[in-house]
Amino acid sequence: MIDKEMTSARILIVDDEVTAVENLAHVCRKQGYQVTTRSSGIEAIEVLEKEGFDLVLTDLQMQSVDGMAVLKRAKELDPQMAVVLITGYATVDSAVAAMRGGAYHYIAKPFRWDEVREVLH
Amino acid sequence: MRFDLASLHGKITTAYITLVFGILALALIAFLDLLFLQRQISEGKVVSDLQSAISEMRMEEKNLFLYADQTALARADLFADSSIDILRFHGHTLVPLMEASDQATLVGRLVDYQAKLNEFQSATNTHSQPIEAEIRYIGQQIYLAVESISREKRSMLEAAAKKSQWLLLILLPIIGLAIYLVGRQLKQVVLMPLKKMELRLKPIADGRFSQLQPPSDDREFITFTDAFNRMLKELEIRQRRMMQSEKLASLGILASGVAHELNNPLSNISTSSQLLLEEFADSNADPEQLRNWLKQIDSETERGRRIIRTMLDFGSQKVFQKHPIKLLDLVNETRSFIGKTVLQHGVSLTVNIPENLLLLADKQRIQQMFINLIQNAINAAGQGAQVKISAMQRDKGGARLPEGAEVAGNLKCTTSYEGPFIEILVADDGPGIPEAILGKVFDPFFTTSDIGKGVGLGMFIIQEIVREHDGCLAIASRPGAGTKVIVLFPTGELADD
Repeated sequence: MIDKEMTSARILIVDDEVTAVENLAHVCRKQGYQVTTRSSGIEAIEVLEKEGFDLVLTDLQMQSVDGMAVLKRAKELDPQMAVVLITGYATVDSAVAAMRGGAYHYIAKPFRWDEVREVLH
Repeated sequence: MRFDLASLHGKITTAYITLVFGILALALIAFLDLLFLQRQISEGKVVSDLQSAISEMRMEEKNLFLYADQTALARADLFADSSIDILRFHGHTLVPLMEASDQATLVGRLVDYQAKLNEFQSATNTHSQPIEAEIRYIGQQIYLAVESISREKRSMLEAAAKKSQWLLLILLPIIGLAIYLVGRQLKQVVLMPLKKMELRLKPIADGRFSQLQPPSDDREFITFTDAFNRMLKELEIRQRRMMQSEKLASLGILASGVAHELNNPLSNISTSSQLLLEEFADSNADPEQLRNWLKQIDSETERGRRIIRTMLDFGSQKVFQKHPIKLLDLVNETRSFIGKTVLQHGVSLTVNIPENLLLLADKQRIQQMFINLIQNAINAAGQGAQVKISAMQRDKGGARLPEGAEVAGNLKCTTSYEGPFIEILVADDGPGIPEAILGKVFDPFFTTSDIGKGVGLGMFIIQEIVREHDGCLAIASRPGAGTKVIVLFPTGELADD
């Protein structure tokens, strides 16, 4: 078990909603990911600069440093890093901006877990 | 003509007519006096004609007796004749000086005189002596009588002239006084009420709706103030309606914010429920974890309820009521609701308010104030602007201003506001407000936005809300250096708690 986790993909979950972070972390762990959580864009960028991740799941709307900024920094640090944006307020504009910014996927709240699991596979 | 003294028109007309009639009466008096003087002069002429005729007569009489000049007798007779003629034709003008009976006596004497002259002519030298004495005596009598009326006439003329002088001396001041009194009356009736009205109109001009009291009971003023007050009331109703519609517009912003904000708890409820359903069937599931999700569902439902209640509270019409409110919570709540607007404009909104700062205020209104302030800042600063909201407790002095900034609104706010107070600053880094229009930002319906974006009541409503809280509002701006809105609320009552 421990071995599997050691070798499993690393995922960073960023959301200023505690419940959302907790639930996302639970599902990701169940999927066998090694999970790191942060509750703001600034903290997310800090940890991104120190550690490498395979996947970043981030909320789009956060105070001061938002999901787009996290996406941008992540892509600067590692263009191969997959970033998935989760948004509570989905518009065509924000979706287009996210995909242009290099997002791997774009999920609108409230979502079904199947959508997330599909992305995680 | 009707003298309606309950109206300005009536009063002015009455005063004017009184003045005209008064002056006419005085002119009539002066005219009558002139007529009287004229009559005195014509009487004087008759008297002087008579006196000179009598004098000539006596001169000829002297010539007759002194030089025995017989031609003088005829001339004396002739002068006596003309004297009789004067008395006969102009006697009536002499009546005030000499009774008609006395005149008849005088005429009798003259006739007598003539008879004696005739007697003297036909008498012999020896008999002429007593006749001469008689003639002299009668002549003397006639002369004395005429002399006396002449003297009397002279003194009468002098008195008349003096009277005219006095009349003039009295009439002129009376006319002056009348004009002065009428002028003063007009001032009292027209100018004073106008002045009073000007004073009473001042607060209304400053934007405070208070009923205008008529400055006097005159109909014109009452009609005017009635019409004016009706208009004010209408204006007040309309303004209230406009404010209500502006509030509804804010509510629209809030509603979309609330819809967005509700999405978060809904999403959490959804994800927790899905996990709960999945794991419920699993006999290995951790009961603590299952309970945790249920708790989450419960608390997120409560969160959704709170969000909806905030909007309902904001939309409902409530009486002004002050409660201690946590300013930071209020601003954060407001920010989350209008987050969509902020997001759309790519504006960064930072809040710097001490955690425990309490403000004694009406929550609904303060929320409206913040919505308007933030919206103004976003509209003014445009895409990508930085908006900073800060608040702090202060003891004295005014808000610190950017150097060289122009200030509009209550200047006390920026100089000498009496503390303690809570200072709220909303600053943006937009283009600022040009000096020329800075003074107008508090005017209702003043807007620089495009048509359809706003009716221009935002700042006006902020001003109203600040006034309701006995606060102080000013706006400082320097073109190119952003705009700073300063709101000060007294904290006296709160400090006492």
